[in-house]
Formats: sequence, C-alpha cells, structure tokens
Amino acid sequence: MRCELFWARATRVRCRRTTFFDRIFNTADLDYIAAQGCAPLAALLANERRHLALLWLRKIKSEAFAILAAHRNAVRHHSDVRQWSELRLLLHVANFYCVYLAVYAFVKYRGAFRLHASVRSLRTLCEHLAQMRSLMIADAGLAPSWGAIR
Amino acid sequence: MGGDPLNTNTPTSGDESVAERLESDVEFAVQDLNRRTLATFDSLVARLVYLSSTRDYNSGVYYHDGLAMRFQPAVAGAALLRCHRSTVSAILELPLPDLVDDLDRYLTSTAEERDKALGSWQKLRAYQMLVPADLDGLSVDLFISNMKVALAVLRLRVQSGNGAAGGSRV
Repeated sequence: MRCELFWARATRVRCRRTTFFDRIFNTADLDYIAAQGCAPLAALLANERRHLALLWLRKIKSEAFAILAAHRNAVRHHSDVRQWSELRLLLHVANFYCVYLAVYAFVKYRGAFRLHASVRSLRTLCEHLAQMRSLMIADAGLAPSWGAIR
Repeated sequence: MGGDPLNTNTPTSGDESVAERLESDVEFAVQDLNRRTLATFDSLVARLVYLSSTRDYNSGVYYHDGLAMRFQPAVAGAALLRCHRSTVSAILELPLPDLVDDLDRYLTSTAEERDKALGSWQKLRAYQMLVPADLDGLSVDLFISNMKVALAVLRLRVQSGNGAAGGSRV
C-alpha cells in the first residue's frame, strides 16, 4: 500500500487511448512528411522524434529503478523474503537494463526513424521494455496501477 | 494549481451526495460550455487557444464570465479545466496531417494575415503556453514537438505558394 501511495505521487503521467510510443513511432507521420519532399522538414521530424524517444526511454528507466527502490524499501524489514522471486526480479531488471541500453544507443546514434523496418524493430523493443517493466511490477508485488507510463 | 478543484477536498462518505451534486453540476457546465461556446470553433487549436486564455497565468485559475454567472465559480473553473484537458488530449491523438490541417484552419481564421500569424507562432512559440498546468512532461514535449513540425509544414506550404519551395529552411 505504501508503495502504491509512493508511486501515485511519483508519477503524474496521464493515460491516453494510444500509447506514447505508438504516437512517436507513427509511420503515417513519416510518410506524410516524406511526401512533402523537403529534406530539412524530414530531418526536423527525425530529430524531434529521436528527442521524444530518448525522453520516453529515460522516463521508463527511471520508473523501472523507482520500482526496484520501492520494492527494496518494502522488503527491507521482511523476514519471509522468497529467494526465487527476488532472483526472478533481478533477472528481469538485468534483462530490462540490457534492452534499455541497446535501444537507447540505437535511437541516440542511429536515430533511424526514417526507415520503416527499423521503426518496427524499435517498436518491438520498446514494447519489450514496457512488458519487462510490467513483469518487474508483478515481481515486486506492486499493484498493476503502478504502470503509469504505457 | 492546475488540479481539479473538486478533488482538492476528498469527500467523506457523509459528503458523497454533495460531491455527486458538484460532479453533476460540473458535467452540466461542461455540456453548456461545449454547446454555447466551444461548438462555435471549427478547429481544436482554436478551442485550445480559447480555453487557455480563460486561465489566469498568475494563479492558474480558470475564469469565464458567462459560466460563472450560471454556475458557482469553482464549478465553472472545473468545467473549463476539464474541457482544456480533453481538448489537449484530442490534439495529442491527432495524426500529423490532421494537426496541420487543424492548425491551418485556426491560422486562417485569425484576424491577422495567415503568413504573419504563422511567423509569430514560430518566433514567439506561443503554443508552449497552451497546455494545462498538470499535463505530464512527456505529453507536453509531444505537443510542442508536433506543433513545431506542423508549423514547419505550413511554412513550407506558404513558401511553395510563393514559389520558393524545395530545400528551403523550415
């Protein structure tokens, strides 16, 4: 309960019908800008989307670490800590962090929002990150409502 | 500041009927605002500009003369905030081509020349002030980014119309 209260205060991200990365990786926007036939405009969109994607990644990473910190605080004084569930959480955190680093580096240095194939791969990886975050929430024994960023 | 005024005091079980009545008043005020005022705007951006202009920039409180006369000021403020939130959410959901068309409709409808209004929007970045105070950071960044790109598309259209398209600065 304390964790939930902490999380409710810590995140003010509002839910929307479409997820944030659905919106920023929208290939219809890319097609539309490409159809304008203006290179500086395409570069502007690519830069803007890269900036937003990096912001989203930083936000989801800080959320993941907040989950971990809340869990650590919650179990610090518990005597019945289950080693298997703790190990599983640790594995999910490690998995999350590896994927996060890969996606972050990809977005930062390639910024590949102009190619549809790379947008699909990025979307898949980002969905994987979001799933990892959900698994971490479940492992940490927190309510699903913790998942504020979608 | 920026929060729903009705949520600042969480009602106890004894106050539930009061809260329900306030909620229905706000809902009624929202419908009234939509019917009498917001329906007259033909673009979402125009609605957004209007709604954000009803907010006092010092206090963050929304005020609307007509609405405050028909309802309590707190109810009117809550209705304006609710409409402001829903309008910005609707704009965030718009695909880029629709946002460009919407913004174009707004800029064409202003008293200023379209080209001049476009220049002012790009230079002054007034759109940064249009979002509700409690909108999350990511959504604010998405909104600003989309507006920046939409304005650049409109600038390109203007330049194309003047015969200066292609590879020009946006």
